[in-house]
Amino acid sequence: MDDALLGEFINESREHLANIEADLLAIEEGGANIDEELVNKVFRAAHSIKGGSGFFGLGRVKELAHKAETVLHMLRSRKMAPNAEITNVLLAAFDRLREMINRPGESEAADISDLSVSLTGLASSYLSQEEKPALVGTVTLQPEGGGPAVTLPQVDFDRARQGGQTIYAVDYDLVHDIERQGRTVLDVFSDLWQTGEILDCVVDFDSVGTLEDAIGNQLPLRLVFATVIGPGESEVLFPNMGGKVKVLFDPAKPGKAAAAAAAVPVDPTDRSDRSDPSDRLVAIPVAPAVRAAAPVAAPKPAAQQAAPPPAQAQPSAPSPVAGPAAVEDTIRIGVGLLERLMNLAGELVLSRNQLRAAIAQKNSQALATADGRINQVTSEMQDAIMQTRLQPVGNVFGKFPRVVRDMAAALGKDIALDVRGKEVALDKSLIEGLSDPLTHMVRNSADHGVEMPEDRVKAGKKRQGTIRIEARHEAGQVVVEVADDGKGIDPERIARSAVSKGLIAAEKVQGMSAQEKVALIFLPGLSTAEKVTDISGRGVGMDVVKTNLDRLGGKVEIHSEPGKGSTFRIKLPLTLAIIPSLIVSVEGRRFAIPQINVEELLRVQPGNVKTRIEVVGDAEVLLLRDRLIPLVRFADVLGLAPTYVDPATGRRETDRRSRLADRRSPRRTLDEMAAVGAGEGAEAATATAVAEDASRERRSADRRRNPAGALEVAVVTTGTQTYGLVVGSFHDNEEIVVKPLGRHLKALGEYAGATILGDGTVALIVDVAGLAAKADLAAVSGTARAREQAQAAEAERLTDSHALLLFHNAPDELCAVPLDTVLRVERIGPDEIEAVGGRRTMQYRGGSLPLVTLADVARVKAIGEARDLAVIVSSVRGREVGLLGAMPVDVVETRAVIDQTTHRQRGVAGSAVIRERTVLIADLFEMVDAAFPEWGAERDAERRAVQASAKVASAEGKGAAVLLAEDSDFFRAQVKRFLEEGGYTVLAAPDGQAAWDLLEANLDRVRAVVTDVEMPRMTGLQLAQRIRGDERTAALPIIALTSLAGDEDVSRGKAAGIDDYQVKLDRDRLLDRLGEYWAAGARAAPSG
Amino acid sequence: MPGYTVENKDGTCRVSLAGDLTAALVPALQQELKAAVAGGATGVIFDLGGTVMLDSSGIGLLMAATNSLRAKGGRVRVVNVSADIFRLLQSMRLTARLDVSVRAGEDS
Repeated sequence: MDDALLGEFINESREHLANIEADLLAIEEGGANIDEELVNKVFRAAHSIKGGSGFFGLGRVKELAHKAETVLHMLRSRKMAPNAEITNVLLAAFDRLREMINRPGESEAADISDLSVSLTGLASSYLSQEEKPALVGTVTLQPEGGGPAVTLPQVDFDRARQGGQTIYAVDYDLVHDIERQGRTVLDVFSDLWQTGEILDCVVDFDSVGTLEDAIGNQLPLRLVFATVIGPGESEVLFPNMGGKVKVLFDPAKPGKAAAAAAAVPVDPTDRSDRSDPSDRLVAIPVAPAVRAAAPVAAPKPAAQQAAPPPAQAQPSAPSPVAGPAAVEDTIRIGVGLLERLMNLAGELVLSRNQLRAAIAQKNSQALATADGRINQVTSEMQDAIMQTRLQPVGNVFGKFPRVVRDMAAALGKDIALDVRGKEVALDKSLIEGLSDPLTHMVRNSADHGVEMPEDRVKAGKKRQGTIRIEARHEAGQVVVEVADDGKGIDPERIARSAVSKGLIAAEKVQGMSAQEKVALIFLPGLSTAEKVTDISGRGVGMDVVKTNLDRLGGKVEIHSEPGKGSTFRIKLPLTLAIIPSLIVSVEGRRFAIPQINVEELLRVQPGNVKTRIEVVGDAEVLLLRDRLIPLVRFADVLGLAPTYVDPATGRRETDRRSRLADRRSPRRTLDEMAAVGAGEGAEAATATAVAEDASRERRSADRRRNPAGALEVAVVTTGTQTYGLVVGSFHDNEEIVVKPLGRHLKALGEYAGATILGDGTVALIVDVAGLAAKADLAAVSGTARAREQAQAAEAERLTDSHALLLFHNAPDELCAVPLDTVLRVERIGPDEIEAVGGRRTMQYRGGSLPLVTLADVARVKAIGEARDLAVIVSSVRGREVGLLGAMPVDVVETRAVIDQTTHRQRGVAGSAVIRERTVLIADLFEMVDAAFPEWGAERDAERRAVQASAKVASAEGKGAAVLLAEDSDFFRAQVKRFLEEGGYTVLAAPDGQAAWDLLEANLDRVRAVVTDVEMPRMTGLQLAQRIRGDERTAALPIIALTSLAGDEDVSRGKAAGIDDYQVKLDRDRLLDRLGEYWAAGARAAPSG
Repeated sequence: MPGYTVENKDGTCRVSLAGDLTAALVPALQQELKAAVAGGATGVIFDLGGTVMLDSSGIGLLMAATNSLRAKGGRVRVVNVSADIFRLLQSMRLTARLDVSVRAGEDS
């Protein structure tokens, strides 16, 4: 029984405490404009906690609540205006109360002295000089009708008075007045507790006597009791007590309370008859500094102790009250919903009875009725029960104002929080699971996202940063976003960090888009903060967030723009449990499509295929009333060979149609669509097609005209995208239980989960958005502009970005070499350089390293007197050479266009504008050739032999040539130059498609192919595949030049048909290999 | 069955209540305590582990015992009280004087 009561008290207190935080923050915001109602609300919460805790012997809780109450009282009576310091202390006090309420058994041992001091300090510092004694002063009241005076602490008296309460002095005799009236002491006191506050209780110890005396004759005590029940009704409280009840203070007659409000300090050491001092503000010695200050002087000790203290005292004291920590395992449900459930339960009983009767009578009609009814009631009940689990997301959002406020203060930033969509409802388990990830994201935004105020102003932003938390429904899912307008996420930094931590190979990173790089943030072990702050943790965060969300069946996306801000978008299923879905089958396998995603179902008769299905650009689309939607053949996505049942033989045959569209289907380009407009175009097409069709129909019995050849199309939507999914056949609508996919299958974006169907087979649940992504659908907008944009984006993606090593020549002259050609960079002083015979060298790795500077070969400034030199070591013509420059050096990745004319001269390949400065790009090969002409002699001799044969071949073969495909103008020009110098004729193309076209036009001339890998329109791998796939060209040797040279890339290249994979700009290697192939006259044996 | 047990050891008298401490029990207990005090006990421990109800006689007994012991420079402790009883004694401002402590982990 005790446990139940205690449990109830704890639950109630929890409810009070749940809202207090938000209320306190609101009070703080209100500032001097004190919302009395709100303060009252918090006050009452503290008050009831205080009251109840006394009941259960939770003395510490009571003490703390009481002290908080006092401060709140002062707020309420406008003796102080809320500010950050006060709010902090109150927040801390209520936090501690919450902890103590949650662990009532340990609460008695809790050390609350720090908070006590803070609260008392606050209270005292905000009282004026005259009022301060009230804290420790007392008031003496004379009872009406005579009798000894009663002395009360001023605070208690004030409070009662302001509460409009009457104060009574009651002389009880426990024995006579209670026991002999047939009541128990406990009952009496319970009543008193409920109706007011016992300000004091003095038991006359002496009159009880000792063991020598007779016990049980009397037990007098005097009670001082404050209650709203006035003198007129006091009989109810104290029946048959007559003159023993005296009024000390009647709010209706306030004048009587005049009595000496003298400063009679309560002596804290006097415990003679004040056995329980914890329920009043004892005069704790407050620091003199505090007392001296008259107006608002924030006491330092109070402010600093706003933070919760460390470990609690060891319970050596008397053992505490019952119970381990109470776990939050309750839920609040609206009464309306409960009633609905009750009704449904009743209905269910009725339906069951009906069913049993029908079975007994074997009445099939009645059975059908009962079936219908049970079905209905079950559905409704399931719906209602699921609703009980739905909670507003606001429950989780509620704590963030505090989190953001505290973090902003701790970090010294100015951050506003914008919360939207608090009422969006989610399953309870999802809400709980969301709490931690959200917290982490919000902390991340505050810590790493939003910049310091000064930085923001410098960047032209508002001083105050904003973090937005928003929840909304979208296409059958719940979307929760945490967005900030801070400095965004730099994909390069993340990528570099991931590589440097060994979390991912450098080669893999090179091919990634910015979005993919940002997504690296989810790798375990990543934290890019220079200073790992306590607040967001040690980079264990984001991967844990993702794991948690995965477990809930949710996904998280990051959208970020460096400098502007970041948005983390979490998508969650509405419910984990049961969803209505459409079952479809494809090639004998069944799948479920969530009903919420299904717009409509279509069957396209074979005769209508040519009119309703069109080919636009590269894709097939379906004409649906007034718009075109893309078509996806499910079988294709699954990689299953589509089949059909031959109407003649009844056998299943492979459907060789590579397209759904008929040969007769109209083909258009996107531009035509835009120009003509879909409606008109379709009509025109229909007209001609009908005419054609009419004539053909008569000719043959067409397989396609058989209903078995009809197309079943489910028009599905993700909310933003709609497309038609071609399936084998439709089945029923069923309610299915969603099971999450196992770990191994989670990466499959096209499935959202799995379920077990009625007959026991497993069906995968389609993720409509994921399927669209896998099928590579772009919205068919039908305008040329959209296509342009798409192409531009594609081009952007495939544009070479050059990795350059920047160094200085003259102090104001920046130069660069492609990073790929650099072996090492060494830092030296000028004294390490040896000048011998007009040449410069240095001792290096046991040998002599020849040095060359740009000024040696080109008309640029000399390095000058620089003391801090850099030697960039590369390999040219098989030897190591050092390019001499000056520090500092830097590495950049830039997409800047390389100008190959303006600064072009021997030794300088071109220039580019990087970070607003002109950078000369050095051509190392030219420099070496110019500085050390003798190096090339031997090699050149060999080459001339090759060239001779090449020229012979050229003469014979009418100018044999090398096909060069490279999209970067700069590299294309470079490589072309090398090749031409090597004696080859070069046919150059800027992308794979152009290269193929060029090849087709010059089939008899091209004897070898040199190609880049990353190119627009057709990549190098695709080109290779094409070449190998065509008999006319299959034997051509193909050399790939690329900056991607990891093992994966090499094997992929080999698989595509590339003979040799070379890293960009190793001229010698390229010429050597090309020479081999050329001389062999055919593909060399596959190189290892 | 007496409803309580008394154990005298090393100058401390421990009274363990099997049930409620009410008027019925008080006279007998009072005698026991008187004897103990006369016998030189300087401390009395009331173990109310089994007690649910405490009436005014019971309270009176505790107070009387306290008075007696105090006069001799001894002390009284009341241990293992239930939450209800504790709160009652606390309202009466008796918990310090009687040195009352609450029982740990109820399993009722």
